[in-house]
Amino acid sequence: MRIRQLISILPKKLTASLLIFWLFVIVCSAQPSIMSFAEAGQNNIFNRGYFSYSLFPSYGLKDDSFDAGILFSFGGDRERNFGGYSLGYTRKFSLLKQSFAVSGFYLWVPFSSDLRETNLGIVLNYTLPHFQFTLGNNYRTYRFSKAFIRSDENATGNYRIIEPGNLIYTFQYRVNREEKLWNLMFSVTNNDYFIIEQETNPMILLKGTYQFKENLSSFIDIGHKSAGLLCIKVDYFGYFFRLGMKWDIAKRQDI
Amino acid sequence: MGYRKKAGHIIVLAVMLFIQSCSDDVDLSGFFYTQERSDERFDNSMAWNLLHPEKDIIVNSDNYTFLVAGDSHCGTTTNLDFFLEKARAPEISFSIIVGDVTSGLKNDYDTVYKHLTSQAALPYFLSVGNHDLFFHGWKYFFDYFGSSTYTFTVTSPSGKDLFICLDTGTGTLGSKQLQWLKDTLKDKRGSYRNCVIFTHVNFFREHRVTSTTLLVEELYALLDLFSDYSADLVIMGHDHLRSVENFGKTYYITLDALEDEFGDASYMRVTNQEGTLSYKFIDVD
Repeated sequence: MRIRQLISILPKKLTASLLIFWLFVIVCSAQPSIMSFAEAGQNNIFNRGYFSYSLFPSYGLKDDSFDAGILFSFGGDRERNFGGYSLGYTRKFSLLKQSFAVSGFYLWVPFSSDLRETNLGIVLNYTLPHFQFTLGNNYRTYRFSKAFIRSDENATGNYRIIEPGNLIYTFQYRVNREEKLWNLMFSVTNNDYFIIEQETNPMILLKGTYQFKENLSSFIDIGHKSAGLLCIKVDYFGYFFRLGMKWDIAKRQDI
Repeated sequence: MGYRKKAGHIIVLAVMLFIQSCSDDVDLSGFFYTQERSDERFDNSMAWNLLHPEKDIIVNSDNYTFLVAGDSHCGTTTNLDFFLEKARAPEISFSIIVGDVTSGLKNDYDTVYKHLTSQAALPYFLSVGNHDLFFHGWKYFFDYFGSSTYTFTVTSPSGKDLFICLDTGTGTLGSKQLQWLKDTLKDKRGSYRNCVIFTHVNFFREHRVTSTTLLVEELYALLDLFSDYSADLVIMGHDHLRSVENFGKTYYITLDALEDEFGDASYMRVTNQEGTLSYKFIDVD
């Protein structure tokens, strides 16, 4: 009864998203791992700062893995706290004794009460002991919510904009090899967990990781975003700090 | 290893100097820093606006027309002169250029100022573009033309319309200008019939481009604002290639460049007929 009451007061989209997320966690319960992080930052949109919390359960099976993510954001002038969700699939493979991974993902971001962004993407990842390269493409759509379109009494015009493919890239340097307990990484990228920028708007990311136990690690990210790089007039946009943990639940017998 | 590092630095520096010496049009220092950031330019603009009240253009007809161009990149002024000649026609109420009027050099500003003041009999407005800011160009823009963030209005017997010029010369509005835009729309939009926004940098990627669009987070905020406050037109330059995107009640229009070297140079004629806006691209002959 309480669950029904809770569902009745939540918006339908949020309820559906939470249910999908919950089902995903159940399906993944056989060999799951879970990553979670809190982020705080400041930028030109949230001048007085913002805070967000994300949760990423994933399920790995030999060379395949499925993952999902959910974001909640707080602070600043925002119409909703549910920041979006993502779904992804990754397959690792070797080619000419080199290790690669190919991933496909879907990203849904309700950035206001009436407006949505969706992304479909595919990326190829190439890993070397000290370097990691990711290249891919995403296809972005901005659209109005169905509820908004239904409620629009003078429904004229177009409610959807589909952008052509956008290059996704990450170039990462690691101080240590992956098997070391700690690592420090420097990345230039145009994509983050719930944001994919245009290829001409890269961000700089400094990441530190530490492996507490075989199945438990933590990380810190410091990110800096600038605007106008390819305007050749680079300007400040924002920065963020992130603190997270990753727990490989399947390895609990090793604790 | 040390001498290799030094040699590397010298080579990078030499390449930068070589590239810089090959071009009088691009200020490569902009890859690393900007002299006047968006918030600083906004402060300058607001100080200027205090001394220069918002213009209200009064037209005696229910209908009026204005011309918009972008990216003249003067230097040379053949197409700019053509545009200004058309802007002098009696039915044109005002004209506006949405950024990259110059290459940022003082000589270019001198040239543009002379042509605008000698040929444009009717009110003209400018929006700042990234090229206008090259080579410390903000100083010249501000000295010659003043504010880059401002509003003006048109009053006709059939209604009053609001026009907002935004500064996206460094690829972002900056936090102060964004707050000003929110306040302006909140305070003023309800009192006006139509709302037209002019700025330089593009909102959407209509095709694969290397010209920068706004960051996604900023686009979220602006799309939401323009949807909530029913902006009619958002007119931009920057990409040099015309495109029209309709999203909800708002048309997002990117203009062709007016630059002399650009083969398909054009400008746009916008007509307001009793509150209904229509536009037409006009090729430069």
